Amino acid sequence: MVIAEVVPLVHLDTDRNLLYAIPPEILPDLQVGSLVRVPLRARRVQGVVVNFKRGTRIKTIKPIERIEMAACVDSGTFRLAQFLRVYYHAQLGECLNAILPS
Amino acid sequence: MLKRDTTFVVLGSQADRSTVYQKMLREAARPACVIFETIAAADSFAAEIGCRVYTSKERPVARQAIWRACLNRESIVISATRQGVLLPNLGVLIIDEPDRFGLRNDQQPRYHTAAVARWRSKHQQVGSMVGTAALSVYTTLLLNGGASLVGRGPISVVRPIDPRNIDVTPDDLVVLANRTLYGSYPQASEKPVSQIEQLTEHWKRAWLIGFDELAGIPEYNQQEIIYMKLQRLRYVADEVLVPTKSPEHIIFKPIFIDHEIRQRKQFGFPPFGRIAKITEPAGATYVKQFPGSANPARVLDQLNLPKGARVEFDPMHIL
Repeated sequence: MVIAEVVPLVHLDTDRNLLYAIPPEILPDLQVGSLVRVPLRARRVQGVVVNFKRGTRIKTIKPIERIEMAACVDSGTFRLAQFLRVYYHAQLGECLNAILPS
Repeated sequence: MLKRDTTFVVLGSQADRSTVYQKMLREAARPACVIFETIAAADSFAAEIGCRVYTSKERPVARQAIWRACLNRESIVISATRQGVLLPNLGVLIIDEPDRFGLRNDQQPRYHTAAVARWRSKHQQVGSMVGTAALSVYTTLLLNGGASLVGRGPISVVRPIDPRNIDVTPDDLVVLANRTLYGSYPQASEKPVSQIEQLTEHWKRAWLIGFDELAGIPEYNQQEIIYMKLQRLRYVADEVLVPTKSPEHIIFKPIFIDHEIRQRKQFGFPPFGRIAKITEPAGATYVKQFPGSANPARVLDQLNLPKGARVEFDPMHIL
């Protein structure tokens, strides 16, 4: 099973990316840099796909709900977000949230 | 010509700078973005040249359309507020008055438009142009680093005078440093010091009343702030008069900016060092200085901050 690593565009207590299952119907369109809607506890939040993995030891994994923009963040924007993350000691999700249009 | 690997500093009045931007934009690499401090200024420039607008006032759909156009490297010109500095694939970035951009957003990261523009210019080959009414520490360092200067400053003079010799006439402009001084010069046009940037009329003489009080504020960049205010006053008056008990103050000397750069370097203040202003949940506020090369995360780790502490990097004001 292919799993997506997603950075939610909100402040988290952890600095790690979250893992989500990819429903088969969205798999062809999903790519690194896609803006997606994902469940996060009781909320639905936006997130950006940053990587794909094969398999996980986690037994129950929530799926990505939908793609909001297939190609939203390019490599230059990722680098800019990484610069902001380090320079202003912020989380990557917060930086991407500041960068992307509301 | 404004290419991806060049930096220009445009010195002049708002109207002069706007003319240079328009001229440069005709040949600039696209997408090109011009950044203004206020939504009104961004709207006004867009109306003047007929370009797209990217501000928080625009609907999300319109903002997303501009984002997509930039992603696809379309040949567009955008007039924006500070968030425009984050648009993807920019060929050219023009920032009007970079020294006036504070940290307005309350959410992390509280970024500086000029710092982001500098990084993008260096690491993403975004051609940049900076427009200003007066040369500051930031713009002088750009020039020292090889940027080209376009235009020139005003020709009127700033003159310190003895406070006992104030003779304000009805044709004068009086800029007041302190609100309590309002009404002291009813015969003239009185304006607060915070409104200097909005002045458009022209006066024969302009007075800055309360200079000594302003110069006594212990901010690391206070001298530069006053200097910039005085330089802007030069555009709206033939003569700028400053009643002061310190007529030998370094602000009145032509070497002021070089002196300020040396002082900032010596004491490790921005842009040569960095400052973290920390506000703890209980209300205590303090400042930590650290070298520009240090990783902020490591600096903060050493401080063992309590949960919920708010950190602001390189604030415009420490007090």
